[in-house]
Amino acid sequence: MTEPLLRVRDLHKQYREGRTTIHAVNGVSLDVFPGEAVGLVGESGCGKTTTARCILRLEEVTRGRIEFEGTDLTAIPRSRLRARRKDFQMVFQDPSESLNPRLSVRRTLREPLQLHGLYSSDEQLRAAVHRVNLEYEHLDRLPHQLSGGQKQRVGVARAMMTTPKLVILDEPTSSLDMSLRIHVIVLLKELQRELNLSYIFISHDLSTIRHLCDRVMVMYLGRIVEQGRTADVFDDPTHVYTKALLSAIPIPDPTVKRNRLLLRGETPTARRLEPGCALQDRCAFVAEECRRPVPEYDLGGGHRVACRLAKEHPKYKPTAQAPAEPGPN
Amino acid sequence: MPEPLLQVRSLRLDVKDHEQSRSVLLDVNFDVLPNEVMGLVGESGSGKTMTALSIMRLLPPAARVAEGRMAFGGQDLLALTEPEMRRVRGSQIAMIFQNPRAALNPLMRAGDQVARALMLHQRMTREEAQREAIGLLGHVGISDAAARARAYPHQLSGGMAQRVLIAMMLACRPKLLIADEPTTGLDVTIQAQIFDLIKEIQAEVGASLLLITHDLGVVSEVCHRVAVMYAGQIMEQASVFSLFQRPSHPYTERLLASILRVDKGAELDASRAIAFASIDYESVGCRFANRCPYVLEACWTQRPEPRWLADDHVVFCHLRNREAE
Repeated sequence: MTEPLLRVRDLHKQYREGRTTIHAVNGVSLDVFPGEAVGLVGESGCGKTTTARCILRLEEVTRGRIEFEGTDLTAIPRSRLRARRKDFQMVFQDPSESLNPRLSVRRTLREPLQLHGLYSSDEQLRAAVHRVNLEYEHLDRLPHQLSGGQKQRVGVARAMMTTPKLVILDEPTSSLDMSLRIHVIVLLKELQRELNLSYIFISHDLSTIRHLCDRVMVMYLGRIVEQGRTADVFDDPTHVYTKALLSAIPIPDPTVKRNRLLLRGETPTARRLEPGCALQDRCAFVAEECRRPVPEYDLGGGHRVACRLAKEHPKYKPTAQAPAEPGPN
Repeated sequence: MPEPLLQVRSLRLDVKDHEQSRSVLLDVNFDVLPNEVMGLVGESGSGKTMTALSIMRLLPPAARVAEGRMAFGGQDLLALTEPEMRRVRGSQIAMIFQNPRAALNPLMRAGDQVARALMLHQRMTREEAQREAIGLLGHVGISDAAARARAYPHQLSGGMAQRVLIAMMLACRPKLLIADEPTTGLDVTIQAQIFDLIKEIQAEVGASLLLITHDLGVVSEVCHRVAVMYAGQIMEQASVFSLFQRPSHPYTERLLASILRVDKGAELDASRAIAFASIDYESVGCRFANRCPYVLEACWTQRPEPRWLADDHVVFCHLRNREAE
């Protein structure tokens, strides 16, 4: 088995808010292998963006390890981190906010190269715009002279300038119209293949995740509640939260009849860390054991579910040493 | 066919931008029937929100209805004086917006806002209205309504704020409810709750709903009929079933082909998606012409005649007209 490019172990991130503590991320562990696209999916407040920001060390972690090619990023000094940054880049949600309005596309794309001493000629920039299906003439434009879709392409091109190994994409398509979305997804897939990139794709948009990611992790209140190969999780969702999330998405086909699984109430704020399943107050299937720490049940092929109902799944085979790895809570 | 509650005919809306004026709505025609959910679907710039604001007569100062007629329950909305129109808003036509917290008064407690609507539209006394407001908040699924009634908008989540607006709407008992992207920005599990609530309330009050959305999934699950808008024109109008069964305008067809579906993991095929190009607001013909793979000479200069494919399905496309000849 190849070594993972990124290995995150037991990541915790807490914020102080006045006298209370917000537990934004509670023990997230994940691997990203070379050339793989991993989706982090969940609703607002689930900790997916905080997880990404910790990985990039845009936030300091409270606890946990983040190893990138074997180096623990949480432990190295900022000066050494800067040199590593060319290997991991980020594409942000809103291209209008993440591009400097005073910089032309040319300067926007040149900057990361110059920062890492990689700039040699304008040819690199022309290749970059070409790669994201923009024209050379766009190099001289300012952000306000571009459409939303074009701006997002510039954001993508900028992230790819230093030929990174890992790109974190935070809701890169959610500000785009649906007819543009598919073009950006196809582009991202092409770039991934061409440059052998690994992606962490953060989104609440499950349909985009389904079409871009090899594996997916479903987060709720700072924890991974279900993970596995994309097709396994989407076609056979097993955690009650995953089921509810998938069944809530409207399907554009009036002939499809669906059973909707509604959750009670709203996502609570992550102020108190209850023992047991994070969904216990909203779940219709809650039982006594859900109040205690829930182990991850292994359904094979990397499909793991932190929900007692997984025990009733036909693919679940209780083994002698299972569950070996302690669950995320 | 029942008498329509709302009739929009040949609506043209001109917006002045610097010295130029352009028609952001052109020849918009549709009806909303009693008790139905009518959808207006389109992407940004399609004019769906402008259509709603035209009906409510809440247009920005630069916009002007240049042509057309809007009849609501027998009265011509454009002919009403502003005080008359104000009586229509709220009590007969109510609108809920995309950003619910922005639609609430930030300095007033949620319960008081609902109570005020009751005093205004149901002529209740303050005490009656306060009591009824708490009842309504409970009715729209707000738990611990008495306590939440004392909350200010910033203390409410987006989903809660939208429920408060729905309670206000309920207080007014309108005939027509216009909902403009009522769940955009809300989490998907909350979105499902809000749509269930809107449908419930609509059935309970016996109102019609004009739902404005960019999401064809929502259209499929919530609407009875739908008009597909692009660049200020209606491209196709049909019962929801017929539209998805038989999308006939190239725009609709390509839009449906562009959607990534969560229930299907098929290979992505961008070749049938809509090509990149900016929206052509200048065209007097079909405004989709510059992006249409089947464009004909006539598309640039003439608005296509309507072609009825069935009683409940009409398309505006030169290609379809030619095929039928």
